[in-house]
Amino acid sequence: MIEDNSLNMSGLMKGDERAFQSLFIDYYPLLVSSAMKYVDEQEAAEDIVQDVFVKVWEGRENLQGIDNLSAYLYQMVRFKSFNYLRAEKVRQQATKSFTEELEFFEINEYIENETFRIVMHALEDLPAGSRNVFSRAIQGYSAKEIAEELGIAVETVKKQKQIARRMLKEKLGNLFTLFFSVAC
Amino acid sequence: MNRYKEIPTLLSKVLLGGLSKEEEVRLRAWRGKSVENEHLYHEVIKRGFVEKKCQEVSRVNIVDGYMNVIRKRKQHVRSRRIKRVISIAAGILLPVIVVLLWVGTEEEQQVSEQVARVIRHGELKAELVLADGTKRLLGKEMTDSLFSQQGANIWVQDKGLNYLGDTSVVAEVHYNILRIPRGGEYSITLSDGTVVYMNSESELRYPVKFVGNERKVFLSGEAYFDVTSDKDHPFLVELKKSVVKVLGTSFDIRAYEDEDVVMTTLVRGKVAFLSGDKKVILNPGEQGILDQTGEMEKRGVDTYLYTAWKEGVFAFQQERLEEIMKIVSRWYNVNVFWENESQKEVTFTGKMRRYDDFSKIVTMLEMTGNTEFEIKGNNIFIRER
Repeated sequence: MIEDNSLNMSGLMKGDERAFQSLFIDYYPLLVSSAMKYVDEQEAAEDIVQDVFVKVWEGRENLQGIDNLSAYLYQMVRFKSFNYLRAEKVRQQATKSFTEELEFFEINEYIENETFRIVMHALEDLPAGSRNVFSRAIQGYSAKEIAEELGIAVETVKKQKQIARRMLKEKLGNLFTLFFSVAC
Repeated sequence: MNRYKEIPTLLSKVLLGGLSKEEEVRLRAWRGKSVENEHLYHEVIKRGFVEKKCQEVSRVNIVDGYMNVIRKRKQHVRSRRIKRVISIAAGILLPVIVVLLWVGTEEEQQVSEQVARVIRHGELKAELVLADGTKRLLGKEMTDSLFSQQGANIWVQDKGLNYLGDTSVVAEVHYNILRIPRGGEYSITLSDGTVVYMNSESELRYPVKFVGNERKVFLSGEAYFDVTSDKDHPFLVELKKSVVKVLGTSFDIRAYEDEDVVMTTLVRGKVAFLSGDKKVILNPGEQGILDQTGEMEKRGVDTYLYTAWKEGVFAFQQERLEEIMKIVSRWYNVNVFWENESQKEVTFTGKMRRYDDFSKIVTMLEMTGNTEFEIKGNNIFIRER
């Protein structure tokens, strides 16, 4: 997976539990909220996503062929959700044929979730001080608002923002090259 | 390759900064393709997007999810083994196989249903947040591994985490967080040898290694502390609005957000329980209580009632059913609904094992009087019989 420095694909394929756990921590909550768009009930959604991870674990040796693991995960969740609905006979329309590709509204959701995930990842790598400041800054809070909330000087907020930007620039630069060398 | 797959990368760069000219062109092209794309773009960059997503995600119990995956993985291995045996036999006796296969799948279904339906008792599980923000999920199945991080090694052992054993000197304080979900318990040995037993729905923030004159940790929820004696370095437990200061001792703190009072129960040694300008000194067998108005008092108690949980026992003496259900529901991770308020006032005395089935707990509680429990999924309805 290209935009993902956290994913240890070769570790996962070899059956490294820690690599599997990182993948789980990274994706589980977002996939559950995605499954809930289909099945409404949280318990069923969690069950579906858990089954997806079991499947990933069992098929770990064959993951090589997948060019984009995150899109693959969303497709699996979609597939299993449809299966569940079919089994439960909750909706008639659920029986319509399943296609691998995501539909329009699903793509939008995929984009939202993935954007959020990448942003959170980038923030995790920042030192705690600038993470606190920057996570608020990207939500549109002004330096003054942040300074008040955290009880620090406006100057400090600005400085921490700069540190964050500098560190992220390096990181995101890498992300860019990786994306093009692998994906295109 | 599908175009949309690169969009999250571009959008995250808009939020974080660092979108190149060339990438901006590509993003513009995508935005121009449809009204929906443009709408989505604004949805993501507007104030509150990250907040909304954070809320969405925080509703999911990740530790429980992982434990279920581990369980399901095991079941699959088992049922696949059965199937393999069957397929070997298939060459020999085809008609018999059909029946066996049918029984085999039947069994598998039953097993997965059980996981979903039966109310499980709590278990050893926790979420550990390291100083750099990475998370680890811990449970019964995952022991004997070692994490290294700046300033400390952490061993994952049979019943908990251990931070002992690293003698390197660190100047800076790094904090870790141990979170126990509903239905969980876990223990941890801090760098000074202090052991903390954590109960369900509780969180402890502590330095990887104690630095300076004080040993300070932060707690919400319930924990039992066995503090290593060290007169030169007092041990402090910070709660939301109060502090417990100790020298070397064993005690229990119960400080849940959804309870009206904070209780500190002393088993051995001596502690000071402080909040604002209020202060009580506790001797063994005494309990300090801080109420919502900030008033503090102390009383003599049977400490066993407040510490039995760490031995795997619920112990109640003339306890109101409402209080009992609060404690029980955290451990079994169930929701309680009161159909008759009067039942909250029913009292119960007795001991129950925490690792018993929930149904057994209910039977014991029902025996004492005319209270009726109805279980629907994870919801418990309580009424007068």
